[in-house]
Amino acid sequence: MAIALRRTRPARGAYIVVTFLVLLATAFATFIGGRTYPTLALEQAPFGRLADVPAFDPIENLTLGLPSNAGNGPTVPTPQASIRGMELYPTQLIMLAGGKAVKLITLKQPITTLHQLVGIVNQPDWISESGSHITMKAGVITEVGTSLAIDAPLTTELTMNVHMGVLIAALGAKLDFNGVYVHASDADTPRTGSRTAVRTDLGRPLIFATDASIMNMTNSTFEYLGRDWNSSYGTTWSKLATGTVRNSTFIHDFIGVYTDHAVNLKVLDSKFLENSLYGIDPHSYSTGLLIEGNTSNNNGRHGIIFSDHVTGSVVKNNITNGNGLNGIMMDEASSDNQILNNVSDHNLSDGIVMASSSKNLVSFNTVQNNRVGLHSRGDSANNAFSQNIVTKNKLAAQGVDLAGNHASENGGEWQLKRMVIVWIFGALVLLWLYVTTFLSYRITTKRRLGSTAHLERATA
Amino acid sequence: MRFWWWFLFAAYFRPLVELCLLGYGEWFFQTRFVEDRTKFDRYIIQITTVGKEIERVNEVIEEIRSYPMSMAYEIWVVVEPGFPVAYPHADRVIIVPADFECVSTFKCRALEYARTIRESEGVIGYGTKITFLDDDTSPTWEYLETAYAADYDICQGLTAPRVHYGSGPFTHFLLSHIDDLRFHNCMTYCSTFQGIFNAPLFCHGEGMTMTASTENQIRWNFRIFASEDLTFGCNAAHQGLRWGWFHEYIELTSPWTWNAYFKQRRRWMWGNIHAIVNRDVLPLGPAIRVGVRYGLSLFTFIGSGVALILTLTGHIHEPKIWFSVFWCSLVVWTLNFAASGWVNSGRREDNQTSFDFWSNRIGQTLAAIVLTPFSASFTVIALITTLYMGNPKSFEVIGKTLETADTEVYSANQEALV
Repeated sequence: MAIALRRTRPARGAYIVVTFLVLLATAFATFIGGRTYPTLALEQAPFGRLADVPAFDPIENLTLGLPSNAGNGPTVPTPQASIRGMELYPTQLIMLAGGKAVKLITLKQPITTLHQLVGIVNQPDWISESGSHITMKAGVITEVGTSLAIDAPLTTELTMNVHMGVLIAALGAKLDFNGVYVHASDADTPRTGSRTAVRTDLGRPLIFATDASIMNMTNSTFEYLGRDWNSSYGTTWSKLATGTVRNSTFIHDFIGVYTDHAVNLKVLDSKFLENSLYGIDPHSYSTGLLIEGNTSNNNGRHGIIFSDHVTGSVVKNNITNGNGLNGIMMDEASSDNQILNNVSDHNLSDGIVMASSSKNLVSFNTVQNNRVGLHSRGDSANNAFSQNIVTKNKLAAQGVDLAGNHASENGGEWQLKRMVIVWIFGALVLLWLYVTTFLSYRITTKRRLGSTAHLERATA
Repeated sequence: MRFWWWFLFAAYFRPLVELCLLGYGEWFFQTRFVEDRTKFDRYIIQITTVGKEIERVNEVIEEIRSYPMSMAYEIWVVVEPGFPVAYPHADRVIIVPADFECVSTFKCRALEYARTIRESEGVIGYGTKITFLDDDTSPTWEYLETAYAADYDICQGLTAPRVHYGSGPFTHFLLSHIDDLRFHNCMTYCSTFQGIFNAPLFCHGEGMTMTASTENQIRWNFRIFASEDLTFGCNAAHQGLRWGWFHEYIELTSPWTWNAYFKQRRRWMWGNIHAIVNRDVLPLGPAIRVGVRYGLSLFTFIGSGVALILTLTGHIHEPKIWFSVFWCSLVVWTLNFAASGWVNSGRREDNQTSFDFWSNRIGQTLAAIVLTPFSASFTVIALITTLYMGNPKSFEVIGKTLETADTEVYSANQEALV
């Protein structure tokens, strides 16, 4: 009889199976759906840069009368007479066309303003003035020992024609821009490095300070300057050049501010908006920079980028917002810098990035709504990240230990609300399966009990 | 391109799909499996053997005799001529006459002969249950009780390589764990495709139980040299007979040597291929079904491997949420093997202390987990290898004990069959 009764299978087997599987499935659902999965793919299309080729710098091009894209290889391009420049020395002014001096003017006293230069040159097809508005149709090079000011109220607007050779350069000299709106003649000039077609835009004008020059920019605006060619990116400090940028705006340039081996440049309280490539781009062994109180928004790639051994500099109290790639980036051995108290918000790529750069201090920054908040990659050892607020990014950090920072509401984190919903759903499924099991078992058990009763009778 | 990525990724979903099948199959058995003893009044347990494994067969008979069976039963031993017939505790020993002629050969011929005996004695009704055992299988008491009472035309339980599981030489240890997949397949595919869908994907001769009427209707007279179990089971389902599956264990032994392992798998592989390609053996529907099963195994191995390589080399970038799903799938896959290790090591040997039993069980479960990649891969490797080895054209029976491991019997040229 005992054996016959054993054949009536207890229901608990089915309940155990159902319970185990539902718990397992719910655990998996929690693991899979209990957190967010941000899409970390880059949202910005690749930017078609020109290859870096050995070339003359813009001053050499102008003095030699060479096209703006001339390389310095074995084959030297033919000088063009349409490329014209005014070379300003303390005691003389040389007017060049196609690399040859076409006129020499001896100065009784140094020219100190662009307004004076217009009057002395007195050739409207080279440079002209209408009220406080000057139009340049040729380049201006200030040589060692000279100092040139372009400032209000004498000059409030400077138009630089889109033509090869049109630039303002300082070679061991001093340049001051104050209260002036400097822009290219053609606002419709296609932006160099277009995503669909790489262009050199040979004629797009630029400003260039080199060889320990001092170039200051105050209360001024610079628009439609620069192109994708060596030292021609817009406004450039090169070879120990220095100066101060204060309360100025750089908009629709190729790069807002570019430096190369520059020292102690200060960029303060300025705006860098909608430039093709970068807002502020200290480069190649520049050092001792202070980037403070600026806004670098909606630029094509990075808001602020230090690249190639930029050291000993401070980036603080800046806002980098809505840039195509990173807000602030230290790239290629840019070390021993301090990134303090900046806000990096809504950039399409990452908030603050250390790429093969080490020993930087990143503190008290607010990094939010970016792809990745704090990102460290490559050989980026000994960077210190502390007291940063990292919030609402698709991913809080990559390659960065967030201890000592304040991370919240970033993607990839567990979501309590979702987990609760998953487990409530799991409980409902379990309940439903219990009911189904109970009903199924009742139906089958009736038949089994019948057979058992028969067996009991037979055994008896 | 994305379609092809997902085509490859589909392989990763297989463990999750299998878990659903397994759960449904087990639930269906627990709640819907029908037993009705009132319909059966005679039980025959038939052991079909060549005759070389006389000690092992007597061991099996002794085991069955030790069970407190709730019904009257008979043990029949069917042997080939020329071997000893010393089975003192068998109720009946049937020697297949050398001159017995039918379409089938080898083991299937012996089965057919035993059937003709039953037919001549009028044992052809639904009331008689017959359980077929091989000479290496030990049914548990619960297995025999359930098989007898199951109210189905044909049914079988869960095959598990529990006899000497993971013990003995290192080769046997590895081969035992390679067989972990057999338990998993039976638990997953037999439970559903036999128990629910009435369309077998796998059938195993060990423990196959049917009514005499089923045997008499289908018969064992097929033009085959192997895979008689699959052939019989599929034909039974194809003719509308009712399949049942139950969760009780029929215990068997894994091969003891690599030679024996490949012999066994080669026989299965080519026996199945022969069945798949010949319509007088398997009807088209079951043939396609079994063929797809092999294709699926190959696809899972190749698809998951290629997808893994493409993912690691950065050629595939799918949303991360899917990778979480794949991780879960991997966990399920590993749990499957852990479960196999746990169940297969659950047979308590005589004189085994509790400590020995539990330490062995835990150790074998961990080994099953660790060996998961090896066990899973080797099954496919064996599939490909046996394809390469070619058709054995004979029924190569392997030895079932360490001593008889490499013995070969039933080997004869069967070119006429293929």
